[in-house]
Amino acid sequence: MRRLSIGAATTIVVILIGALFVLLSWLAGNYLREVALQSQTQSLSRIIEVASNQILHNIQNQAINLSGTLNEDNNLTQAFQQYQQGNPAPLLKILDAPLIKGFADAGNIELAKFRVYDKDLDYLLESRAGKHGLAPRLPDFIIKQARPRKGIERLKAIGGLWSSNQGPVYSTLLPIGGLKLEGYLEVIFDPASALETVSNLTNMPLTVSLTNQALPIDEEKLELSDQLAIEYMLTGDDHKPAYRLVGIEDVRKFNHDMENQQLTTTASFIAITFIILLLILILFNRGIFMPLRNMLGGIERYRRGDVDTRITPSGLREPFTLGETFNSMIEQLQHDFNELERYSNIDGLTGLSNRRYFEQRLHEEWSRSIRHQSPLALLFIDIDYFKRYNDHYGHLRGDDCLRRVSQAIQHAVKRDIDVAARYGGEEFVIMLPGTDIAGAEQVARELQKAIRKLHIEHSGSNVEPFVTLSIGIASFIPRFPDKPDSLVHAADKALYKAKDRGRNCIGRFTATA
Amino acid sequence: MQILRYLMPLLMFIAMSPVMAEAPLAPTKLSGVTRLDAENVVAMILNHPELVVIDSRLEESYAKGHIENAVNLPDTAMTPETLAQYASRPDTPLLFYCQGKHCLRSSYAAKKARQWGYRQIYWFRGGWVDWRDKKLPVAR
Repeated sequence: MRRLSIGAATTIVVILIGALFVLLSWLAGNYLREVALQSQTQSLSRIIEVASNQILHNIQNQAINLSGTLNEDNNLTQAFQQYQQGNPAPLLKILDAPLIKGFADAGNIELAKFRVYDKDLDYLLESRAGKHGLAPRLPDFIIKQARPRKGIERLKAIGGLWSSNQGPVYSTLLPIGGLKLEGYLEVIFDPASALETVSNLTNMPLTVSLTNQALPIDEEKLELSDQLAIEYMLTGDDHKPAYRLVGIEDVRKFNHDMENQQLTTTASFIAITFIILLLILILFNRGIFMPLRNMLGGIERYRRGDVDTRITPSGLREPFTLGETFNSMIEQLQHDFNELERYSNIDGLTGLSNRRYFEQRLHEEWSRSIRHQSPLALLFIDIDYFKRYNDHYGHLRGDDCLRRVSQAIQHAVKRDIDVAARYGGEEFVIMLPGTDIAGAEQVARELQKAIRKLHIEHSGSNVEPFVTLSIGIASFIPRFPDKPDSLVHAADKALYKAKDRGRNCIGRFTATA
Repeated sequence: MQILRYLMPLLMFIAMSPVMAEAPLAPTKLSGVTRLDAENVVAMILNHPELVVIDSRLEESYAKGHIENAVNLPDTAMTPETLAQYASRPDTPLLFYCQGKHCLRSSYAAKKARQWGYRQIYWFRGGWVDWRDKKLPVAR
């Protein structure tokens, strides 16, 4: 399975978060739209409320004015006094006139009835014209307000909207007799047509219907169109619902604005998501991806064998540290490898080169000597009666003896290209490239001298009471296709020669021998 | 802080502007004149039949509605002679009113009446607006 890259994962995460934001903004937009529509409805409904209250207030003012008109030249007061004396005709005539002929300042207000009461608010009579069938008494809410009044308070007009048995009406109770209270006049208006003028005040189409009537508007149709129905329930002063006012508001612009706003929000969230994604990817590329690619290249170069390769650490802290660590790791590895290689060429006991290294170098020098036609000398060295030394002094002293001899051998070798090695047991070799038999013999003598100087006690030796060396030397210019072994054989033969001669001496290999 | 020196007068002007935009107010007090409110006006009319109620507004305002038994004598038309037609004696009680507290006609008329020697002068400062607000009966 292919693994997901950091870039792809980041892109997916950012896009998911972005999509989530877009979705949330869209949902929030819808919610806001709902809330805005609600508050729009509420404020419009409040406007209808204020406008309709203003109209009802105007109706009451009209009632006060009308009672003033009726009492012009004290007509109403006098007619009321005649009524009390038993003649209702003048009073009825005065009250019927505005209902039949209409009255000045009527405007949209529709007069419904006049009713007359005595000072104690008891019903006396009503106009013959106008609405019929009203229960012959003041509405309860007016009685409740009017009864407790005293003195001048009784002259003040009171009234309100109420639901009569003939539908909603607006009553105003006014004094008869001007400032000298003689009775009461109730002016009853039908406010429906006046309320329709709310439409003019609010500048929106409006229907006024009774509350028990079905809504004259198909609400489902409204939902689809760009129209909003705003309903306001006009409650009477008797706390009974009187009228249902339904205004129709054109919300096309509102909807359009809301859609635009939602679109803008969503678009900006998408844009922000992409900008953030771009910035993150740029940052990741500079800070992580490029350093990582750089590092992978370095590792690949190392793998192919370029052990000296290093990478230039870069990017953010983690990739930078990784690069640095990688470099120091390679360094450590290289160091360890070199150490290991060195140890693999050294004899553990004596510190001289081991036989493996000697043979490797012998092959190299053999080939070189063939190419250059230069002599290659080999010294084969053996410690005399070393087995007896071991038997007599023990292996620990034996090892010590080997180490001291090895040091002397190491000192005998002067040049870098010379190789001194432990060949096995108590046998050592010295390879001297470019050296003839005379040179080799000189080295051998110096070595023997150095050993003699060491004066290592060796009571088991038949030659001397101290350690001595037998050395076989050979030197010749190698020829193709001879093998390096021939030089070793030659030196070995020379060593046997030296041993045959009684040890502690130098045996020379000669071609004839 | 320096900016406040320029800002303060501006702010004060803005704060004052609604007040300044309103019509001038009638005085709250007139020397030698008794100020009445609407309820006292009704009581005065009922208890003192000899009281002359003078509506100092112009005729068209008076025609639309006025206090019962009030006579119309606009302040501009009021001279010692015209006033004497309604109140022949200086001890006749007089009640002046006009549109309301933003109307200067009645206060002006009451001051003049006092200058001309009338001794019982009443003034309804609230005027017609106050009368209508209290929903008192209207005469036409």
